Amino acid sequence: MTANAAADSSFELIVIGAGPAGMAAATTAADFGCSVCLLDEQPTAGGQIYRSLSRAGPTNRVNGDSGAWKNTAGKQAIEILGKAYFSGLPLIEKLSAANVHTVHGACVWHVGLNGEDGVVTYSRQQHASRISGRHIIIASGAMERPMPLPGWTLPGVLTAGAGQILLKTDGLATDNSVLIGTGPLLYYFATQLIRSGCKPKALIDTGNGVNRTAIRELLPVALHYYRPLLTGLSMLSQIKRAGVNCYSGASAIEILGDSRASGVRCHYTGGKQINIDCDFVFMHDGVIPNTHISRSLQLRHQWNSVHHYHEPAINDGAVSSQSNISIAGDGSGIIGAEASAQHGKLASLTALKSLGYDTEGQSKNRQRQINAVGRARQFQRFLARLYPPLITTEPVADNTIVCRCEQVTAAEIKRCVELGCTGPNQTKAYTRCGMGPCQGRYCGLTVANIIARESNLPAETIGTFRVRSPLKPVTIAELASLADTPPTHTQMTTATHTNDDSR
Amino acid sequence: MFKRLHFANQSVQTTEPQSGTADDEITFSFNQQVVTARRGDTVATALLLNNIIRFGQRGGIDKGPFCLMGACYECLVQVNGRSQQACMLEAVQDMQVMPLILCNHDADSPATTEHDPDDNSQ
Ligand SMILES: Cc1cc2nc3c(=O)[nH]c(=O)nc-3n(C[C@H](O)[C@H](O)[C@H](O)COP(=O)(O)OP(=O)(O)OC[C@H]3O[C@@H](n4cnc5c(N)ncnc54)[C@H](O)[C@@H]3O)c2cc1C
Ligand code: FES
Repeated sequence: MTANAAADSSFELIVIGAGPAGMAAATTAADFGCSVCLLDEQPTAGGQIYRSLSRAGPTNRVNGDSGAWKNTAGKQAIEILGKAYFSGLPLIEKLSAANVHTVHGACVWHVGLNGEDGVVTYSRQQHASRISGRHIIIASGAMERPMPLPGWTLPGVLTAGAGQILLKTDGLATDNSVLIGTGPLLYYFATQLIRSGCKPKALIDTGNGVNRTAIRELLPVALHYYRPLLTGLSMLSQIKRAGVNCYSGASAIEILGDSRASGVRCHYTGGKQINIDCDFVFMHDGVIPNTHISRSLQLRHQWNSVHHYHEPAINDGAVSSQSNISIAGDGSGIIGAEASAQHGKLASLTALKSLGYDTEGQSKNRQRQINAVGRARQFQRFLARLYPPLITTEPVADNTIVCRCEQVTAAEIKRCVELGCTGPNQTKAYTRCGMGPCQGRYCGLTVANIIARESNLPAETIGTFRVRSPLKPVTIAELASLADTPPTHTQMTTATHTNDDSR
Repeated sequence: MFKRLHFANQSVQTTEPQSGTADDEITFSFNQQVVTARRGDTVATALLLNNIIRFGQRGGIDKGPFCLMGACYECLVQVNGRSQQACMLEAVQDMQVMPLILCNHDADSPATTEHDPDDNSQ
């Protein structure tokens, strides 16, 4: 059930994000007869992995009936995008049949508390609305880890995720590209491009392909994951077989160009240098949880030293440090799409119980879900060790822009440290770093890394940018459109936040 | 340059191949240049398909789309005097899109900056 705007503004449960985690959470709650509102800023449900799967666009016209895939276009779509993409259809169909008040195109820019209730404010078509819910599940997913390299701000440089979005949403590809970075999603995207007939010119691997040394070290764990590992190896051999030039162990990577990307230069294994011309660069250095909402709520977060990111602290049932706010899916720390759906269900069942629903019959499932999510976290830790982010192996070059919005370089951040800055919020005051419209999403981790490196402090002591709403820029007109809705108090009383250098 | 793949030009559901029909096509303008797109395309997609990758400038630096998922704000353009993310905005017939050109301090808070719709010079 889809609505244009929330007619009813009070719900038992509000779910933010309609990826696998959010869809599973919302439909589980609806099964119990709970009143649930699901918000997502994208025009259709699916999240990052199943993006546009349901839309009346290129692949969309697939209606779940496998018979419909028998024509050439359908077959081609599956061949190029991969079967995994289409495995999201049952979730999407379940959602469209469920009694869930789903609002698409709804960008959430404030989450707060009003007494016992959670209050969520979002904008849709330039109009802001405010709804309240007794429990909130944040399922806002992941984003790609910023990969600061000289020239990464040039037009023509996109993330691999962006390249995938173009492919999934609109069937767009380009054949004059270079891929930079590491990790399964990058290799997966490379194979998708190859199958599209748009073979990338080169893959510049900041790791060593499938890092065999790491596999040997991690062998006991690796045996557990032989199947995904084989998939990984097969992706790499597909890339090589297709004749894509692969340069592993790449360092000192620079993206060249004046007003748009025109090539890439780097060193690779053996100290050799290579220069490759291209029109587009796709970069990828793993994914990190999207913690803007949870940080704005000042929920408790912790530094994950295996993944090198901050993640919200949650319990087995996905409840955060605030008892009526849960965090499910990749937003709670990367677990992958399948486990995200399980985690969404788990979060929902826990929330339903605290809302007074009888969930006894589900206790067996609950344990199964907890185990599945635990295994997924373990697997992701393994992947994180196989594909360590570039920032942990090579310092950011001085002339590299760290904050894309305000064009602040690594050298400027280093100067702040020399001047005595000990945390990201202080560098913000000196340099405006993190104050642009992306609100530090694409510089926060880099800034923390540079501060830790320069001041010889452990990363976990550095902290994060303080996040304030509006979480996304809104206009005065949008704010004014809220005047019709009664005001709410948004302070958190039980909030704690570690490592905030601003205090 | 980006191109639309064969599968995207056909209906996946029916067995009849039907390449992008005439009523699927729309046109709009970017910086007074005519851009063709397909109904349902975002402004960012449409511009990329038309080989436009510079969407604006901030602090003298050219800007183009980066994440296409609404997170980086590198794709900001100007529509009806309002700055909007090209990757989150559906292209519609006759829409007039302008590059967003800001000096750095303007970019602080497009949040509250209402641009003068008649002033396309900036
Ligand atoms: C760009 C990208 C591409 C990926 N591609 C793949 C892939 O091909 N294969 C794979 O296995 N994994 C992929 N992943 C990882 C995959 O996204 C996750 O494992 C999985 O989608 C996580 O599910 P989720 O429900 O937690 O979050 P997501 O699927 O990310 O869903 C989160 C949803 O929340 C919405 N949202 C976020 N913030 C707000 C807000 N403020 N207001 C409103 N809505 C909001 C987003 O629009 C999104 O739809 C990708 C990740 C990224 C970032
Ligand atoms: S390209 Fe990142 S917000 Fe549009």
